[in-house]
Amino acid sequence: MNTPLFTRRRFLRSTVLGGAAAWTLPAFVDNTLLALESAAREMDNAPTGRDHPILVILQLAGGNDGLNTLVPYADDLYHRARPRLALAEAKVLKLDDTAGFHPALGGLRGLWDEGALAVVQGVGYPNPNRSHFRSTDIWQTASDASTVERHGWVGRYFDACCQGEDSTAGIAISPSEPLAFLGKNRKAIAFRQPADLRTAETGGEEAVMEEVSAGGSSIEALGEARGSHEEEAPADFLRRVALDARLSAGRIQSVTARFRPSVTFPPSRLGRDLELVSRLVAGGLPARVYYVSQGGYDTHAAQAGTHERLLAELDAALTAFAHELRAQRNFDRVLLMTFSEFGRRVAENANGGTDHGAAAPLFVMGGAVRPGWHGKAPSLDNLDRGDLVHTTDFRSVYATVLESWLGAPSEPILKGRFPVLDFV
Amino acid sequence: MKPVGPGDGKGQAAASRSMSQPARCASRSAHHQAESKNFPPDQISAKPIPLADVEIVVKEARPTWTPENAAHLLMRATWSARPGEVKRAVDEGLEATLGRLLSDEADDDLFPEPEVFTSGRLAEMRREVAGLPRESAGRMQASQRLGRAERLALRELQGWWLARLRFSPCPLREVMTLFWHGHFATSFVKVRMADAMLWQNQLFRDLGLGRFEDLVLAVSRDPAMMRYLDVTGSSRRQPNENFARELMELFTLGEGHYSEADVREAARAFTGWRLEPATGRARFIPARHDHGEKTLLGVAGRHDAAACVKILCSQPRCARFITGKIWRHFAGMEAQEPTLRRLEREFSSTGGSIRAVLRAVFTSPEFYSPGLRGRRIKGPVEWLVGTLKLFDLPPLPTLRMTSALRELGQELFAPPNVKGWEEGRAWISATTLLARERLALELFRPDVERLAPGLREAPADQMAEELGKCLMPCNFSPALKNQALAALSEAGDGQGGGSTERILALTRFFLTHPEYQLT
Repeated sequence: MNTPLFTRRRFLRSTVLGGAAAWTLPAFVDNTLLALESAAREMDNAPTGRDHPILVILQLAGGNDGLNTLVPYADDLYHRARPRLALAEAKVLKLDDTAGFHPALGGLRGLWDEGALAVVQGVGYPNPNRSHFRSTDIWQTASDASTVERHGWVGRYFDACCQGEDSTAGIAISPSEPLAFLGKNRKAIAFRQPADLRTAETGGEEAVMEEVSAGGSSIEALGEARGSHEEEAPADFLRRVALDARLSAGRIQSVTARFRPSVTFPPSRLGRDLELVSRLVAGGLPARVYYVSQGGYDTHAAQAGTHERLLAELDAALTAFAHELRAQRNFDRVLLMTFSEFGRRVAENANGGTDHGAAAPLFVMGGAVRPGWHGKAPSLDNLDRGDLVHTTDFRSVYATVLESWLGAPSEPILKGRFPVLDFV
Repeated sequence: MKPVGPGDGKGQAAASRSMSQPARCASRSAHHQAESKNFPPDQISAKPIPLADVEIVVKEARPTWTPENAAHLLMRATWSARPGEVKRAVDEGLEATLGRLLSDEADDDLFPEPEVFTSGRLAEMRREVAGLPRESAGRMQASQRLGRAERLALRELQGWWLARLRFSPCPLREVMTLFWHGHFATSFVKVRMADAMLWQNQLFRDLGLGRFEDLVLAVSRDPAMMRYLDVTGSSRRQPNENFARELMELFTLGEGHYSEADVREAARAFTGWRLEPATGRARFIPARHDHGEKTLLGVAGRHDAAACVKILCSQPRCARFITGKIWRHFAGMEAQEPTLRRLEREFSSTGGSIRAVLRAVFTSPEFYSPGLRGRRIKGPVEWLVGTLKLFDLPPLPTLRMTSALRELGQELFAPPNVKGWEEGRAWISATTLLARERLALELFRPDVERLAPGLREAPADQMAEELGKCLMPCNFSPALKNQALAALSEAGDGQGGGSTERILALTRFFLTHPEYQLT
């Protein structure tokens, strides 16, 4: 049992009761303390009763070769463009009589059969940019190819819809917050493992709690400031972020120590990251969006072996994640989407690889998904300078996730109107 | 002094007249006795005082020069306000201090460029790559070697600049170099040439306090900028609009103060520039330049790059845009209208002298107003280098500093995009705040003796007060001191911990306190 949590709560309560009777504990501290306490209670891996939908964004960094992931095996143009790299029809995991998965995606094939997987085809955007950095930024900020946006699309969602909450709305398993999470109000936390959130020696929750209660009117100031973060004095802003950060960090560390997955995750980095996400979901954290990333997809040379290894890693990790969420009875609450900054050229290059391209398919996985094909397969004979032309704007995918899954208005967040698809 | 609005008419002029009259009368009366035929007394009160004259009186108001004001100026302008520095500034007075801060003293010989740049090794490797056949395995390997060499060179460059930021005898100039780096944001991630980043850095240092127009023109010919915004190769057949757009939107005017047509016309003016592969420097090729008639912001002519820059920098909007940004950077908040107008006037009347604008900022009474003090959030580089200065510590190993700065969101030579870094509260998130607290303990090992000479025998109360004032000169408060003492006692002080331990514990408390981020 984690007694310090009880001590802190009792400490704070007693200070308040012992002090001026006019003080009330600001709601955010109260909520988070309740959450801490519930996490401290003996619980198994059953869901804690929180039922908000959760989005997991999985970035395939480097530019995933969509054509060898979702293979148009029946199209002769595919085989002619890639004499060495094209996957043989016999090896492809056929989904129908036009396309199938790369052989390494057996687990995803299973999820497809179970109705837990949707594929959105030909996703991209007008005037595709073939620079990793610029195109990644475009996907992260949902901007046009020609505009530079400071803030990420998920950050804008946090600004618009998660104002009232004082804890972190986004959790990224990564060394720093992804641009997608960057909003006017910073409501996300990023770490590689829970130990990264260890707080400074003399800092720690006690000192901050002490400070909050000893600061006299500062509790009221903190409580009042909740409604209007813009006018908040800088010192109060910093103290609030510090308190939030510590409480979130404390909660994350306690939850990850407490909840163990019932499924064995693969030992790859992606496997470990998704395992961590599954524990945070099990722990009932109020975070709405998670972000993980798998790198290495920039296969300019010797693609065959590298791509197979990456897809196998992806497959194993996603399948374990799905099974674990099912065991937790949380699978219906979670939607996972993949994205990559671009696909790759249709034709292979001279080094057994492919160069930066444009449109590519993406996966959406979850218990509530409307499974199967979505969007239109891009044409292989009507190319744009050797690249596939997109048939679905990626911002439609975002609009769908925002409106149909997170329940948020997409137009102000995406700064434009994009048709909602029906994969969820 | 009440601000005088434009077009206020006689009523307002009369009101200001009654406020300003005594001063003018006093100064005029002596004059008046000497030349009574020129200034008959009844005519002074009869004539409405012209707006310009009233504002002259406002301009004469100087901030009082107290140790608090001196510390505030030094913290904001140089990232450090140690007791000795504050005393010197107080003794010298505001004018002399500013003169010293804004001096043009060259200090390049104190900071020799890293050998990788002086040896020309990178240029040599580039020539080697260019000489190999395309698509060949040899070229790919040489290219990878070059890429690694460039990244290593960049790290050395980062260390070199951090050393300058730490030790330069002209700290304000280094602060402005960083400011311009954020304003004319250019990233190594796209440029991929470490020496080009060095040249650009020197450009900001050499021209950053001079005339803004000269700075902008030099930036438009800077190889790193040309690569970053695709100026290189832009020809009259296919003018590239990238630079022209950012020049107006981000560098000189701001969004909404130009049209798409202006962007297209300006793009034509910047054609004809090419980067020489051999030297990496910019060269103008007249045949590729569009010499035709262009109309930019209503001005017609055969504008070339220099003419274009001149038109943009003489716009009143440019004065407001640039002075507003400089003020916001040092003040941490928006200025009031009268201050803004004074800064604009300073900019316009000096041909865009940044030095003059800075002087106006740092002599403006608003800069020293209580509502402005201790309320600005330090950026990561300021936090890191400022703490090193405070403790009189040398720079750490470059890799430790650059990885800390990356965690905190400000990597030198790699701003996130062409808009640079968003300042103020944008620096702070749960992640970066926890990181600042953790890194503060990991990175900084102050020498207790030098930090607090003579404090070892002091009682805890005095220790907390003096350490606190030293570490947070502009936002230390009695409440903070009490929290420090409370934390000290909770940590078990008095159970055999010596005075050194106590000083270290207090230092740790202040360094990891959320308010340490304020200046």
